[in-house]
Amino acid sequence: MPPGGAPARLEVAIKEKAYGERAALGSLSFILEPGEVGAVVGPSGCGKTTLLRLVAGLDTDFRGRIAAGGAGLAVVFQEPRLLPWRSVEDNVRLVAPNADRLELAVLLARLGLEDHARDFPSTLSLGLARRVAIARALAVKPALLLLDEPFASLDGATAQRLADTLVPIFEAKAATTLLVSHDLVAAARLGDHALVLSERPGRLVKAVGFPQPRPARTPEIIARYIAELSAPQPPQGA
Amino acid sequence: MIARLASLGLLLLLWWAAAHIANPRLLPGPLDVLALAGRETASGALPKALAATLARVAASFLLAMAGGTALGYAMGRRRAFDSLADPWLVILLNLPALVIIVLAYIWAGLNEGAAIAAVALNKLPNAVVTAREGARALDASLDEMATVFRIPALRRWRHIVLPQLAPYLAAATRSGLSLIWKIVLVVELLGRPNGVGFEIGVAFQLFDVARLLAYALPFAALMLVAETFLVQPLEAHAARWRPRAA
Repeated sequence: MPPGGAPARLEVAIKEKAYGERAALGSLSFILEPGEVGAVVGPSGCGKTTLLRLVAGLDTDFRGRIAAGGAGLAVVFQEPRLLPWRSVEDNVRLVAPNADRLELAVLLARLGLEDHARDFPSTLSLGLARRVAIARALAVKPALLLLDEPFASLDGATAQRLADTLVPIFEAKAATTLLVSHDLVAAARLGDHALVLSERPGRLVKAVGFPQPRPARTPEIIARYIAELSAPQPPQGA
Repeated sequence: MIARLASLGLLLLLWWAAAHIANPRLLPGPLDVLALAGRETASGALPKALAATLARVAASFLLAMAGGTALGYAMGRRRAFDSLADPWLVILLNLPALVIIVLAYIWAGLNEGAAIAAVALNKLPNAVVTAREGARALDASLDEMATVFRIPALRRWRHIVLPQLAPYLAAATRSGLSLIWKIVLVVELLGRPNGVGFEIGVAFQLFDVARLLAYALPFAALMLVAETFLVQPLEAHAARWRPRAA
């Protein structure tokens, strides 16, 4: 396992990203300080997942610059991308071969997976499979953590429980996190900032800060944050 | 298991009945063949021939599968390499086994290396084609996952690639073992001083059908045992993660 290093400082300065003739992302710049959670929101198809792939280094064909100091990257993909032929525990162990048993057990328990360590992914619901993907990502103690629509296709209650699980994990500020989601409630509950993108090609139209610590965010505060997100505003610097 | 045994019993019964009708020189009964196999086993001649043949089968099989998997994987992953190597593959696929064997013996001499290489070369294109299909079907999203998490090449191969290739390699193994065994016999008949193929050549010269069957059938029996007690349990283990069909 890579040493649990300090969280990264993520600096994104994209000028343009295009697939052939079709522009996918416009001008888009922001900085996440170490340990911060940036929630990227915007209409579907605006390039959120493209942004995540660029930050992950899976696509290097764009104009601009992305820099993340610190070592260790982990991604929670929208489809969990688990190995169907390995148990939950072995899926996590795959990326962290040196993790000891106790450490692994604690991690699985944190995500509510303690009863599923020996299950194969095909027997899990999507909600549980996402949790396994999150456990796998946390197992590498990343400096930079990317989550792509972790709440997509989950029913309301399941999404809520997953968000509850993520609150203390994000509050520990062990990793700088980029959370891509079209779900404003999740952004307002979990983000330190929200970055609002425009319609395709996605440009940054607004950056909103959520100063209240996550556990202290009451439904009223969250509603106010959402209202701030939805209000039409001229663009500001991030 | 019971169905398997019953089906085997039926085959023996048919053989026994046919032997009763036919000339015993042309088709000896199962008991006569078994008795001869017993005598040859007691004298040590049959086990020796079987061992020599099995060693050749194992060596050429491992060679063909290792080379075929590596080449097929590379061709499935790299389009440029595929278009370069594909014509060679088609030629090799369609070169008759006999041509490869005779050429190997002429060029390399009547020796063990030539024999094993000739057999392996006959199986190789087959393994390449199957492994290439498997490599083309590899899941790109798991590749990305492995890239993001910087999983080292060896772990990636073992935990991500190999399980996806496994059904293809199993298919290549099944068809490969029986194919290789058949070609090994030809190689032995043409240019080796021992082995089941050599003994069958002797039986042919003596027109001794009982001897021919006594040497040929033990291998088939061995494969049947291996299939039942080795291959099938292994496959069941490898497929334990698959959701059961309803």
